[in-house]
Amino acid sequence: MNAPTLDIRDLRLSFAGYSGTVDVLHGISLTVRREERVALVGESGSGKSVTARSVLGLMQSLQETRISGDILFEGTDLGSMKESERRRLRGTRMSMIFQDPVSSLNPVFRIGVLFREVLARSNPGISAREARERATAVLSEVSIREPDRVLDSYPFQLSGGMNQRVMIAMALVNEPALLVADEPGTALDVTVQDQTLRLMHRLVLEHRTSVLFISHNLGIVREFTDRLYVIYRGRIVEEGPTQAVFQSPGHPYTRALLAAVPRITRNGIPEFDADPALFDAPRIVHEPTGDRP
Amino acid sequence: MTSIHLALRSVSKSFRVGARSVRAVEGISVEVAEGECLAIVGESGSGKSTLANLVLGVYAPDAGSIMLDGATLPARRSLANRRMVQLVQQNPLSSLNPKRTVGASIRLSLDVHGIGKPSSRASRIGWLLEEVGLPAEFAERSPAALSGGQRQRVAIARALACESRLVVLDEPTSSLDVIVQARILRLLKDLRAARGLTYVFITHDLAVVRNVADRVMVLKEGARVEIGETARIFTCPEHAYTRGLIAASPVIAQEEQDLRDRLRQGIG
Repeated sequence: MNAPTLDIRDLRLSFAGYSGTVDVLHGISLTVRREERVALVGESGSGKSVTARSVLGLMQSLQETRISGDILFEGTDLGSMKESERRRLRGTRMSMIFQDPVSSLNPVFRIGVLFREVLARSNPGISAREARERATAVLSEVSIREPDRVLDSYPFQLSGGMNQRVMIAMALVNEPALLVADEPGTALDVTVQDQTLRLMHRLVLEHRTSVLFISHNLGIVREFTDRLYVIYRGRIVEEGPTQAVFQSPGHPYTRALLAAVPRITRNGIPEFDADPALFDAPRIVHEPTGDRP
Repeated sequence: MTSIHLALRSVSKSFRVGARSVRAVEGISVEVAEGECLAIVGESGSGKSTLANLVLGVYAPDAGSIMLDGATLPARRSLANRRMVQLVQQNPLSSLNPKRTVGASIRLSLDVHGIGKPSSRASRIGWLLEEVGLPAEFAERSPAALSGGQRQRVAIARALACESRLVVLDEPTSSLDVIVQARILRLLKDLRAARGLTYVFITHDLAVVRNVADRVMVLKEGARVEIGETARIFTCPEHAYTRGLIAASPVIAQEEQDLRDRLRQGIG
């Protein structure tokens, strides 16, 4: 039982369209160990969200995707599972938090109903009263002071920050082994985002949840993750402990990314005359590393 | 002595929401000097965008006045008034007409304001595109055939087309990746120097503000919390709200972390 929570090996993915296939992932390998918080960092179009969705098993059933490589979740290959088995994992052993909480919560149901649905995924026989009690308990964990009002509200009656906390509570209520957080808090104001991420961080530490953190925001990654992978155009270009990569980025692309981030202590606006072809250079491997060739 | 380019005098604006009236901007006064970059920061709902729309003349203020180059602007602006203030928006995909070529979008601005001889407008569009770092041939392309950064360059070229000296930048880089953002910020900086432009820069990204603005005005619930030189606002903010905003910004370097920790202590 020492298998890592998530082990992706040489994941390749392409979309078939009218004008031929578009290769999106060119062999991604990454590992999330137990209780580890790992970031996948990259810009738009780099393939980070597609990777996240593949982990949840959401890309495999699409007709236009061609996918190869292995995604092992707690030692079991998702590719060898039936769609129904993959579906059973979602919301129970693995869950996801999305960027925009308001559009990812169904607007026609009250929060209490949505909560019961989530709880019923791991415990189909759960009674309404039991579900409400569990929901109330977990809402207080995300610092929601009036759980009854929230449970009786529709998502659009709550603020963005409140919805994000509800999402976090729902994602963690079934005690998943893996939480995939896709740009959490990006749609929120900076102060609310800060509070929300601190709260999420505290909870995953308490619940010993492994996290795959998808983000383009390097400041957030620096604060909330142990290790990171940098993805550029469907390839991992750098990997290492978060602090080490921030202190001495090895790959030209990572260096450019870090130089481009404006700082509140003023670093000026960098010039980018460097040849972007450098960004396609082979990957840098930091020590210690957790994956295989 | 530099002259005052834009002045707001006790400007207020309310909106009707159902039966209630909501004060979006409340008694804002500020002067922006010729060639200055003033940043306006605050959380969503703080009145940043309403203020931008007041400067642009999209709304007329309920009270107070807006002056450009010393002259008060009328509530209903003339074509000549409108030519004096231009806008660059957050999302160039929605601010550029997808059915027009890039050149046609820029040309509209030249036609409306009657800039240059009609026969010379094509070459003028080429120069504008080159000024923002795009090849003149891009005039033939549609916005869909451009990347996010290239589209934002087109939006900037269009704002420059009618030679206004005041540009309102409403979150101009918020939808862009960091490397592209750095390139656009560099372009905006170079254009400001080359053309002597005045910027009103609206954003919630304080790290960007630190690197581009001369002065910062902080808004909360439509009112001015504080205003000052950028360096002063970041090193010793007077107001707890400003300290909170800076302390919540994600940081990547140790010296930033130190500044943030210091500000957090100030909040208590």
